[in-house]
Amino acid sequence: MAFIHAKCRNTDAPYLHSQIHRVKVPDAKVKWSTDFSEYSPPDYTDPKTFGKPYADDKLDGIKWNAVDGKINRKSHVVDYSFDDEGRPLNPMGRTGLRGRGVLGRWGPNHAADPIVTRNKDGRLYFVAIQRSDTGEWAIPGGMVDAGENVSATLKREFSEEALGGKKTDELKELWTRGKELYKGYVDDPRNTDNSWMETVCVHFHDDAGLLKDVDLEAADDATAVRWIDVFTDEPLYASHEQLIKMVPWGAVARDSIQKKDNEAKFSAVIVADNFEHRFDALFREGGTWCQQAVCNVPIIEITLEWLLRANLPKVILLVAERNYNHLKPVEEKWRIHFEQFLIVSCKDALSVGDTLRELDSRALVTSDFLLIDNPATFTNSTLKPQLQAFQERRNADKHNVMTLIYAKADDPQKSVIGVKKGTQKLAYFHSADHPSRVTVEKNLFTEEVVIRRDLVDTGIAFCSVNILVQEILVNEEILLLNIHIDVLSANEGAVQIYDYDSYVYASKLLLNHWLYPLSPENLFQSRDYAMQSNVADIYYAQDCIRYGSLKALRVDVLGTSSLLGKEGTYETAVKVVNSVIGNGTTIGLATRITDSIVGKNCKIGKGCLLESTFIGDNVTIPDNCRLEKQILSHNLIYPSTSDELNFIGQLLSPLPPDEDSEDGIKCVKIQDNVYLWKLTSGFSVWSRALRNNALFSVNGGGSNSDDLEEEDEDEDDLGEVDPVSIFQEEIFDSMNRIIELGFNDQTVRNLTLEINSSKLANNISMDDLSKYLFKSILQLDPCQTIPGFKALALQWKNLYTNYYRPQRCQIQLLMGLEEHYHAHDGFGPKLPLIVHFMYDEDKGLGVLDDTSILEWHNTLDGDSPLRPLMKQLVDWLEESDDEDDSD
Amino acid sequence: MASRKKEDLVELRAKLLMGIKRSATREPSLKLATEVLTFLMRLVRHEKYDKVETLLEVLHENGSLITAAYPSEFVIRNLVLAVSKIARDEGFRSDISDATSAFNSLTRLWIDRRKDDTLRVPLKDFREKLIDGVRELQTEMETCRENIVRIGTELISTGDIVMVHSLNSSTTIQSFLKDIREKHKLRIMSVQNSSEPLNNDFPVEDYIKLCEAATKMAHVTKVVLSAITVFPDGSCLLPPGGRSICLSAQRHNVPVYVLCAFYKIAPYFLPDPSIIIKHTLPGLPFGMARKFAGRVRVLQPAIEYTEPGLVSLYVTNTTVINPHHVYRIITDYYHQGDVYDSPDFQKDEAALNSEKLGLGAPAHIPPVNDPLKA
Repeated sequence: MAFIHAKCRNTDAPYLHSQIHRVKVPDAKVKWSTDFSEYSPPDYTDPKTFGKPYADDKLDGIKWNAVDGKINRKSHVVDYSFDDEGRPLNPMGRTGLRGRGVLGRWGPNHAADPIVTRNKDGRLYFVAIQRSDTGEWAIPGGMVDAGENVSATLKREFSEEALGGKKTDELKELWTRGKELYKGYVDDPRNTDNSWMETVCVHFHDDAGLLKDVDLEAADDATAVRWIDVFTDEPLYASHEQLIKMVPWGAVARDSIQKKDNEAKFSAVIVADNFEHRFDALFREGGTWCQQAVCNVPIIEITLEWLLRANLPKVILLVAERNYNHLKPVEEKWRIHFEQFLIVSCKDALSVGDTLRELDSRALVTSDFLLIDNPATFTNSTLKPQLQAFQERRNADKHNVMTLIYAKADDPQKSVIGVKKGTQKLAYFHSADHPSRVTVEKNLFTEEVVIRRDLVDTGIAFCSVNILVQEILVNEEILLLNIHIDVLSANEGAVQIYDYDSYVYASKLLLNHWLYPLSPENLFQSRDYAMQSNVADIYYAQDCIRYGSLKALRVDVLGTSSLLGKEGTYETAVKVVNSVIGNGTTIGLATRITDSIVGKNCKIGKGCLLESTFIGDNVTIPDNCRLEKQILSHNLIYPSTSDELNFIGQLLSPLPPDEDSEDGIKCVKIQDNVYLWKLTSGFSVWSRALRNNALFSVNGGGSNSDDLEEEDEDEDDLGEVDPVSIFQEEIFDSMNRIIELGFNDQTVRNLTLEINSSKLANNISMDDLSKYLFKSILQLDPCQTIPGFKALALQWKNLYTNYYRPQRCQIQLLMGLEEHYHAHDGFGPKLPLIVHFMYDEDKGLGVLDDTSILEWHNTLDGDSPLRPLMKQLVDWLEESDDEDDSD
Repeated sequence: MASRKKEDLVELRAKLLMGIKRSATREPSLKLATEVLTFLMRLVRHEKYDKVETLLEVLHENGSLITAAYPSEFVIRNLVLAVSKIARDEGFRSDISDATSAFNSLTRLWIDRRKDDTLRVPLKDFREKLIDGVRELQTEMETCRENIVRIGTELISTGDIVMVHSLNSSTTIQSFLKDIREKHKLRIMSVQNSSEPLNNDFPVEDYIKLCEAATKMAHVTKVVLSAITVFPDGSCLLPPGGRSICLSAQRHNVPVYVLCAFYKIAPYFLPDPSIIIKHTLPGLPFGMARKFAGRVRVLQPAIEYTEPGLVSLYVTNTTVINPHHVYRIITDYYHQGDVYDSPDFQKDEAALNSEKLGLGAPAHIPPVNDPLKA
């Protein structure tokens, strides 16, 4: 459903300056075209306006829909119509109040709103006045006076309200820089059925510092005027919030900064959250991914440390709002080591894409940047040659927007990519659900593509700032055309933590110096302890050493290459290999721990055997337990009676998942305070390369990887999630959300962007996109009726023209329609109407060509029930085709 | 300036430590030493203290923190101790007569454990004297390279074939070679690590790999190395490969001269080299990490411990000294109170008396039921 005005239907409070309440108009009955026979709103016109020069007296003699003498009575939206009494009707529908209200004119009341912005210290500000009546901040706009044109109003209002009536030369210059942002109806509390606000909003960006020395001065009716941050939390007046949101902030800031500083500095952007459901259990009771420890050092500290070595002057951390406070101490600690260190809190971010959009909208990145979409990404490379190569490529061709960094390594997922010989351009990228499979396409042969399986994605990418600009993501070919890869040299490594398997692997690499100089003794340590290792490479956390002497280390445990936290208690014959033990953990007699991570203050009993296990904080494990590939979340008391092998690859938590937020998780109660968490996607929680069924079939501890792979092969019949249905679901959700948001060009652009992101994420072809996009549209609520479909289609015209210009896409659309027809009874009569509407250039969308329709029609079976339905339209098309030919 | 807050100190300290991290490879120790001393200078200059003990406390606290971050960088703790010694010398005058006695300096550090009397001078004078003392130390540091070169060139004569190591990373060796080249006609052989790029700024006659060092040693007449740290017993830490060069030199009776600035001489012994010897990258391609990590331990030490018997002479900025006499110059730079009055030392000493230290697993392992066999 389209935009519905809401502010002017508010029945909670009486209408402004009166005791009169509006009558309630339900959403469904706003449109005048909808029947609402009992609608009988009060008629109110503020008596104070009678006889005022700015107010109309009578309805007679007014020239509607035209410039009436000095007064412009044209609407920006439509030619409005009239009620029985000859009063103009609000083009957006019923408001619950008749009359002129407090407004001066019957019909449209024109206003003008100048948004004056500037960029200062990397932040964007606009001029706002504080209204004395409500205390809200507002754009210094006002009504267009009789005989005045809009641009005069803009100037007059701005200098009156923001500059105390001063007119300066600087302003003249500024007024030449206007860009119209919005022109049309405003959802204003003053609106009535017969009288409404319309505005022209013009954006002036002061990129030359014209207003630098101009003092702002509030007018009498305002309490204050100042530059306020565009991302302010202060309340903005009525519809002004919407207007402010329309300013293309990203572009504004980039333009102005690029003009000033072409040599903008390379920055590093880290998405500090993890959207992987596997780790949800660890943060069930708070905490963030960044604070999670690897080798008892928080992840983010390790990442920042190697970034420091990569010598990037600027670091931006993107973090979801709820985790913002966790990162405050990080900022305090690291701020001084970088030229710029910013933490950006993103509202409602649910994916990496969301956070990047936030980044763009705030325009904080103005130059090319290094993107790390998972903070748990460690490398010992300084990335210097890669950065240089990226910059050379960028200089050679501006379309080389991205370089992905790969490392030579064995990938447990055996993912495959194709790279063009010589140029290192990415030519083939594996699909998300079958990373190890190559779907051979012809161009792989013609373009000399090298298929590589020896590389693993490091999660580090060099990106052009343009990648943030929406236009590029809209380009469907981005994935293959402009992305290059670069490979780290043989002795440089990188690792990324995306599941528990890689978690253990990463800590193993760090403990064994494979990522030197990122190794335990070099990692930045908190001030209360230091690391010292003995000859077997077991690191002990020591109280700060008095520098006056060197003392030999005690040997508490057997084993090698491990890290033991401080204040731990280790009984005799404890053996620890390739493992990390947190502070204050007690380990019982003769327990062996291999390739594991154990959290703080755990109690592990005697004679236990832990292999590849992840154990959170405060976990208790009874004597003689044998655990393998298990995840025990914080505070769990491991059930001593259970048959442990059933939990291989599983996560046990003392709490069930949070009902509101964690939807990728299934949960089974084992006993009191023990819950088994599973991923709904069917993958093992332990590793993303394994499926649950594969793990369950493994007998004993011998999880031979070959076995697993065989299992992998016949997983198709086990309810695997189809990327197409994920895609459909995602875009369906996006569309519903956009509909709720209301209509304007920006929301449709966002929708396009979201569709494209889903397409990339699920590796959907353009053909499939065309088909499933339309099928999803048909399932939307408003599209259940023909008028609803039409209204939405007209609003989303850009979407259609964007995707359905090529003929093959049009045919896919029709095939989608056909499938929808087969799946839904009673859709038949609507089908030709929809096709006609899509074809009609005057009243409809005009996205379908006659040739596409005819071609599609030809593919239908002779006895297809669609043939009779389409007959009339097709005949007519063929006729007009012939006519064209005969001309 | 004097009103700077404590946060500044914390920030300064963090910056110092991060600065060390910033470079991927180990930088010349002079740079590190200069940075540390600048930090300590800032400390004595602006920190608030009303008596010498307070200053010592502040020094010890900060010293512990910066040392703990880099336990194997002895330069840091050495300099903290050196500044602490200046503070003691300027603050307590009780033993001023003893310190000048050359005879005492030989044994005093180890024997004389009596407490200093807290004979205080006016605080203002003390601060000034202290700053002067640190400044003197700074000057000594700045000139120490040329002094080493001046003293060291005496040891080389025309016609020598000199083998050097870690030429790229040691600026002292570079300036040393430059100087003797001007004075003598000789041949220089540089042992390079395979990954190390050739130094174009300073070309030498021969570049050889470490594995060739033993065979070439037959032709060499002098070996010149640069120390990372020298211990009072004459042992030292050398860049990796240094010890094997020393061993082959010993085999061929070639004298080994080790250049070492004063701030590299540590006032304490190293009970167990493994606690400070760290290992670097395994030296295998990263592609093998999945298979090998955790299963294979490849030992690639970042520094090597070398016994006193392998070094012929140490060349410091003040003197040329036999390894067995290194302990004699300890008192020039350090005060016994700093080394032996620390709680750690006393604790360790107590521990030494009662039980043996660091001798592997506990003596007896009670029988346990192996869960694997159960």
